[in-house]
Amino acid sequence: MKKSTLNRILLLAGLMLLIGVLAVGCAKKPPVKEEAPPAAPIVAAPDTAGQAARAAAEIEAAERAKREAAEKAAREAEQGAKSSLQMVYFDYDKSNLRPDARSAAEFDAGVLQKYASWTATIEGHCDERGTTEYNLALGEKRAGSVKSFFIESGLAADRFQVISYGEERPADPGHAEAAWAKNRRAVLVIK
Amino acid sequence: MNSSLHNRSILFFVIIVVSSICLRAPLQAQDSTTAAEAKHICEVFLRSRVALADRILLHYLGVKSGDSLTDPAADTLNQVLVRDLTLCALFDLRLPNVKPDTVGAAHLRRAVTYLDGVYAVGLNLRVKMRLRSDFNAKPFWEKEYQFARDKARPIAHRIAADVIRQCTGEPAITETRIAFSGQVDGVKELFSMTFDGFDLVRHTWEKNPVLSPAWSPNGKQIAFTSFGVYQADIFIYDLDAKSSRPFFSAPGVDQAPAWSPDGQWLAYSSSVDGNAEIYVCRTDGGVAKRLTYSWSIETSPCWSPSGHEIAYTSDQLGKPQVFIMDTDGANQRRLTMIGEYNDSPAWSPRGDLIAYVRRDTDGFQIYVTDPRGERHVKATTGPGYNMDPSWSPDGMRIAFTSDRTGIFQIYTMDIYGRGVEIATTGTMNCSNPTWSPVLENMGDIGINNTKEP
Repeated sequence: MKKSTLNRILLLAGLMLLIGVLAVGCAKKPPVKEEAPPAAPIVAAPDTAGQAARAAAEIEAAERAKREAAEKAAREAEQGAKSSLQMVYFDYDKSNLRPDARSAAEFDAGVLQKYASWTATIEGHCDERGTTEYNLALGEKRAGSVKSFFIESGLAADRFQVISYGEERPADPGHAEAAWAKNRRAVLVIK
Repeated sequence: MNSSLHNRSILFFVIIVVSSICLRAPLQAQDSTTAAEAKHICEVFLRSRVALADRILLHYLGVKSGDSLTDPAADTLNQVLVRDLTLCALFDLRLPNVKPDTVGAAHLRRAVTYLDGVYAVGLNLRVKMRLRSDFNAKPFWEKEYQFARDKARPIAHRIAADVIRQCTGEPAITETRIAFSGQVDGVKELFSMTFDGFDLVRHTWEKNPVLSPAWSPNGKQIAFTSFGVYQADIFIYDLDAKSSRPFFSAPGVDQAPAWSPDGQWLAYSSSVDGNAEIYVCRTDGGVAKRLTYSWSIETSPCWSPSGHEIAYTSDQLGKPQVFIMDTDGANQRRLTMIGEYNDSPAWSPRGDLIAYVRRDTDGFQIYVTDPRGERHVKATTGPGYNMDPSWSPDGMRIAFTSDRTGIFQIYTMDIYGRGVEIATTGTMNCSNPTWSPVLENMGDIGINNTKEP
């Protein structure tokens, strides 16, 4: 009984000490902040120092501009590389790569090799002929063929995700072979 | 005496059907259906649907006012009732303005029934309907219906359903709906309408394509394919809760759900193991059972009404063809032997026929065959697309998609491809119809269901 009272007193004292320390700590902080501004000498500096600073700033600005131009060029090159990616087209009810599809995929693989940080979704599409369900499965096979080709070309499998839209997202809404040929495709979408 | 009458009636029916198929022959010339073949096909169908020969001769005498007061709602009731009794294809329907056929079918048939009704105008309409086996006989069935004027349509469907039940015992398709994918702003959403194309209701606002809807056997849910966490995943829409939940979601394409006849299982196609295969899984969850093992595409499963077999599409031979297997994956056999593109099987609820889609020289056409694949009858003709067959619950009609008007619409037809009725008539492209079972609450589905949540 007596021991527990003692414990409580000790605990209370401890708590008060802790609060005190924290309060002191907090109180000390503002003066530190106030000391900081006088450390800046620019306002009172002589003219020569000002000129040097301006020259340094100009050099820095020029470098920044150069850097930005280079970055912009790189960005544009990357954008160009992205838009240079070729569509892979397929024959009706087929998911294998025909010769022109193979060279398109080869070109794309080259671009992907250059931009190793890119990851991509490969979309598989079909023309409107056939059933919704079969085309959804066929679209997946088409995208899968392109993914397999990329893996064979030495690209890492985990860079690619396959998705099928079947006949739901035609590139050309027409109802003749000209449109169908454009719709039987695999599209690379870079993330 | 009776049996000879019966034989005569069957013979008469054979003559009618043979002659009607012969009349169609020029249309089917390109399909090389000879007259001899047509006769055989006809016999196959007659064996399976001999009940047609016994179609009840139903004289519909109309619904009339009991006093001098008339009401336009009664005209609607009359019109809808006549259309229902025609579309259900269970009756040889005779209307009051048609002269009774005394030399043809009429005197050869056994069952003759008279249907009429009397209505009284009040705050609501009251209609008393009755069935008699003879013009002067006492009614063997009577029932009174009370309804608000704007409910003439659903009440007519209810009366037709009661008449069908009283006279035939067949499932009453007049109280069914057809759900389908309707394209809004380039995206397919889930819609439904009554079997005769009224009371159009939009069910989903998924903003992702809703594909391959399948109405559950208890009428309360619709399974469909849409795009979820991975790519195509399977969802179930609940008609009471008016919301959908994911049913199966795994990497790859999960699609084409099909309910088992007892509603306990869903069959579907999934590439979760790397390639599109057929799986079955209990609807309350559990481990999926894989049924097919091949390098090719397996999709579009559908159950036989016995629940012992599944028809499906496979391109294991290089081109899609319809196959049948047992529900454990054993005994896989090919059903379609002609044509380079056969797909989308739908098994009749009677079990005797399987409808499917074939790519023909004149476009995609619906064919009907028996489960042994002995005879294949072309049910649709003309250029373009005739696809997505779905059976009415009585196995007498097929709903399908066609672009014959320039846009995709839902149609229904009988098993011979006759009596084609357009069900959707808007400007919306519609596809993938699924016919509901007989619904207890058909009139209620449209209510409070048309607004975006």
